[in-house]
Amino acid sequence: MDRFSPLLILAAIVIVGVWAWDVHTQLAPPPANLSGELREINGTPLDSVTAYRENSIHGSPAVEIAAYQLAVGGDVARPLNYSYGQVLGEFSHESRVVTLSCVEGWDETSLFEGVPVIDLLEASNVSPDATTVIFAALDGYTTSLPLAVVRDCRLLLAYRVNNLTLPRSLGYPFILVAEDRWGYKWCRWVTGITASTDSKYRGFWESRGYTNDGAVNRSFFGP
Amino acid sequence: MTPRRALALALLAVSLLLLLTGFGITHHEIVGPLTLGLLDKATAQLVHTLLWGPFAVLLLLHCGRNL
Repeated sequence: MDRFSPLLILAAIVIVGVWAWDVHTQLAPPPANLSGELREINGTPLDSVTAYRENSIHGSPAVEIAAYQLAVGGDVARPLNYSYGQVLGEFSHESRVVTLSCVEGWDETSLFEGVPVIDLLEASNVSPDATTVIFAALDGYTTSLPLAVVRDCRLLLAYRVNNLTLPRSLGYPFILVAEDRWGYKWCRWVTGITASTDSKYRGFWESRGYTNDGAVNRSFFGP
Repeated sequence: MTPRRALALALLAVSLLLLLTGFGITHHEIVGPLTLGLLDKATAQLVHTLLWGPFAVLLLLHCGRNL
């Protein structure tokens, strides 16, 4: 025991130092409101875009918006590619206050504005045989949801949050607002929307043990 | 009380608090009322994420003294 004491004490000091830095970071006051950010709507408080934790699989990718293309394809009659401007200009917009619940334990509520994903799919004449919608991101991330959920809930492909252009950390140019689904269903930096008949498709986290359903009122572990 | 015993008890207390706050995140609808609202989900998240330091130091010292 005595032989290791200095090493133990040194290790303890290092741990305390890193921990103190972590405490300082976690307890630091939130950054001031971003200019123009909405923090309340109709009496409902909105969490700042700065409150969301960065937990992407490879860090936030930078999207060159002039070259950006959103591909809508798979089991559709007319596969189409859209520029950022075309998505914003050619489809109806909807706004909704939605809570993102992360499997890490935190949740944040914000006002999201976007285009219903089902409108994009219907513009491509989605096949009646399609059961699943697979979302792909610029960083290689994928996830999926049943087409019925995308249709019935009119899930949004959002480009604005709290009246701000979607920040890079939240998925600029587009994030899937997967209402009532765990955060791993909220695909960020979306580049592809694919209709599929493969209802057993498993995305990035789903293939690592999270549920394919992703319903926020149930455990996220399972088939 | 010997320092060794105090260390062990402190580690036990922090371990139990880690467990409780962990459940406070994943089962907040149960833990919240059980703690009379003291440990809501956000508080549990904060405490849980900050406890790793005391836990790691206590575990290190506990193992160091007993191995």
